[in-house]
Amino acid sequence: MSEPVKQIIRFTFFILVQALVLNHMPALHRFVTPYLYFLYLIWLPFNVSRSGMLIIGFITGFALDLFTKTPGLHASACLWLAYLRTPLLKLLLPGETKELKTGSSPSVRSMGLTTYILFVVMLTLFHHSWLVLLEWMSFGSFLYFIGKVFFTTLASLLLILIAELLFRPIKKRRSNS
Amino acid sequence: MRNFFLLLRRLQVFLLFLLLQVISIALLVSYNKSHQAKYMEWAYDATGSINKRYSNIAAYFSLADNNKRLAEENNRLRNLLAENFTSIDTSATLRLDTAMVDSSRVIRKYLWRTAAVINNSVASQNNFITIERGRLQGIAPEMAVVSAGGIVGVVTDVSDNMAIVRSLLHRKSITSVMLKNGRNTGLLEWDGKNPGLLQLKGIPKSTALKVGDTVLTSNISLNYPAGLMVGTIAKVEKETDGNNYKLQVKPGNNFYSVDYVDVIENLFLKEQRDIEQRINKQQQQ
Repeated sequence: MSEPVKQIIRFTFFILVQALVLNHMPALHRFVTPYLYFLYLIWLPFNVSRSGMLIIGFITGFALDLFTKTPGLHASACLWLAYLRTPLLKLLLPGETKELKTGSSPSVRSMGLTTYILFVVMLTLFHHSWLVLLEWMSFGSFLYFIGKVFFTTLASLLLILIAELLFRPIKKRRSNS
Repeated sequence: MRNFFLLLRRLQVFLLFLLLQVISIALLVSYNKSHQAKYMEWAYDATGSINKRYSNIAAYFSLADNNKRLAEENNRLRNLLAENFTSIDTSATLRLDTAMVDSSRVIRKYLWRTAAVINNSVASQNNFITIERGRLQGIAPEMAVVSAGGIVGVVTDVSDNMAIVRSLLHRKSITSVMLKNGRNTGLLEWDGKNPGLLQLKGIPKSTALKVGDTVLTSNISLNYPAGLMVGTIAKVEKETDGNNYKLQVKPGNNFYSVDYVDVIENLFLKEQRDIEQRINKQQQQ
């Protein structure tokens, strides 16, 4: 399957799972609303240009916004994620500029376990902080804000772990990590 | 000039980011203000068709619950039928009057339409419900939405075949309600915390009430007919300052599973608005 077709199928899958399954989950607690759709942005290949990344991020966020009826909310959070992804990759993989130009995508195999975990956790935390900050801008309670960011991030990371194990099982760990 | 373009080129990613970010925040802010946007209309239709397919499947899982609820409502309505009531006086006989047309005939004030719920949220701060009936089926903004258990919300936006309902679980939702005992009116709001509890304000502390009392829609509400079930008082918090209670109300409607709702149109709404506006204008002059 060619790369664009694969990406479009993956995009549709992520948005539909988020909009039709995760958003309909009965709330375990008012803090916990798990998000998974932004994993699509994390899994994009290394060699997507930064402007391309921003546009894809905007479209991904806006597609979900149409379902949740919050035009701009998820788009804004995804834009931050898309904007910070490339600098973060360069920061985490300093000597490997050549690899960043290939078509492979961030994974345990291509980045090493610790680096990949750090990469995902940081992007998730940033995405959620911005999302919750915007959502609760009018609410005001700081403790509430921190709590919601923390628990939502935990729930999302758990989902990402499940998605990793389901779709990209670790066959061979990188030797020099 | 050349340097300026070089600078733009160097900053192009950042500028694109800034531009898109400004667009999304502007969209969010403008939509939060009004909850109506022309460009969202096609989105309601597009996401609506996907949501409809999904809810067609999901509906099978709640069939038993729905049946039970409908049976209960049927039971309640049957109990209201005229045949259930009889006059104690045995000498009175029921006679059919030939002149059935009453000169003081009644005029319809509220028109009810059923609608299927195809999307529903409870987890966010501002929750909306999508129903599959829109402008072409006679739905317009500001119509009231109720289900068998109690009131649900108010229509805020319509497209051709879909309508968006602002649920009671919305931080800007304010409903005029009254206590069944005593008929004191207050305002029902939601603080965005627990989907199982709404807040009722404006009931003076002199009112006699207890946990479990019924809350109904008030007779001064523009959208809702008076006396519809809203919920029951779950907790009474006496605010230390001020002379009003702060009541926690458990909604009669289960917001986690709304499947079918009735949309109520107040046919006098425009007339009432007009006459009230006229009075306001006269007083300003």
